[in-house]
Amino acid sequence: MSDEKQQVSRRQFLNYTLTGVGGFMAAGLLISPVRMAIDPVLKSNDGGDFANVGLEVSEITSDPQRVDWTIDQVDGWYESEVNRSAWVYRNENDEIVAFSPVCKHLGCVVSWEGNDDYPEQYYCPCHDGRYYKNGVNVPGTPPLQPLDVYEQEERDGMLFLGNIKPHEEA
Amino acid sequence: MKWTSMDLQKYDQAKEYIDTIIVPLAPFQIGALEPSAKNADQFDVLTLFARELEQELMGRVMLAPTYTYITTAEKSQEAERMNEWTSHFKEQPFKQVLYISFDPSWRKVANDLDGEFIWLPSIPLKDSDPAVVKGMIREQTMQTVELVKSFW
Ligand code: FES
Repeated sequence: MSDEKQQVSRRQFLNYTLTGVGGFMAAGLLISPVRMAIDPVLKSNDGGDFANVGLEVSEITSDPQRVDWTIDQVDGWYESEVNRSAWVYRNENDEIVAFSPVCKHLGCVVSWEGNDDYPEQYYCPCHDGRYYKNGVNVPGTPPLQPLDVYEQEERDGMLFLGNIKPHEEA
Repeated sequence: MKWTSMDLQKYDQAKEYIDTIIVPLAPFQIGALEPSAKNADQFDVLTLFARELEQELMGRVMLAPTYTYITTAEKSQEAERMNEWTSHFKEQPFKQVLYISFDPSWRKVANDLDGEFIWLPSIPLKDSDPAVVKGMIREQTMQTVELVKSFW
């Protein structure tokens, strides 16, 4: 009797332990990629998810301009910075819009009027992808979606940009 | 695209769009401190630079692992081995095989290479302000982007 009891409990113990270890490992696997994705963002910003991109709101016009900024991670000088950039302008409703420059086809960086043949459009050098000024992809060019948009807000007259969202939600 | 399993999956789906491969070439040695450290610094800068270049052009460019060689290696022999890499890449097919390096000695054998060689003036790292180095890398990246585009 007591032998059996002991065996059962030993088995149970083993079961618990194995589940425990398995669960722990799974949690580790789940957490680390997420943390890798989130950490730079968390470390970078003084106030929430938004970063100061070094542009005064009053300087934003109806002509898209490129802003570049970096998100810091403090461990050595090189592995430590993530580059970000955006095209910022004021649309016809006087709203500030900041596009992600990452082409929705395969991810090259697009430029406003990057090709002389296509004035007033964003141009992707990789496969001639194009977007209108409002970020919508030009039909018949490789991209199938509009450019993504940054969340944005104004603090003390400066432009702060946050997470990237698909165009529709913006 | 980078040589990672994730990007290789993307590449597999979009091979017809990714026709250019970029191979960084970096000398290394572990010997006298000063030249070794200099090579190590340049290796870091080259890695950073290659990553930025890839970021700009990732939809059409594959970044290969860095080709390393001993600083004193006979360049003509290395060139032969690099040509093997090049023919391997062309099987994919990649149309453009571009080598980038700070090492000026490749210029002498550039004609023997089956790929294109792009020489980058080296960026001094020692005692420089990280922000200045970043700026220089950025500038060189944009110039090289233009150069790569001229091959398309
Ligand atoms: S990556 Fe922009 S058009 Fe293909």
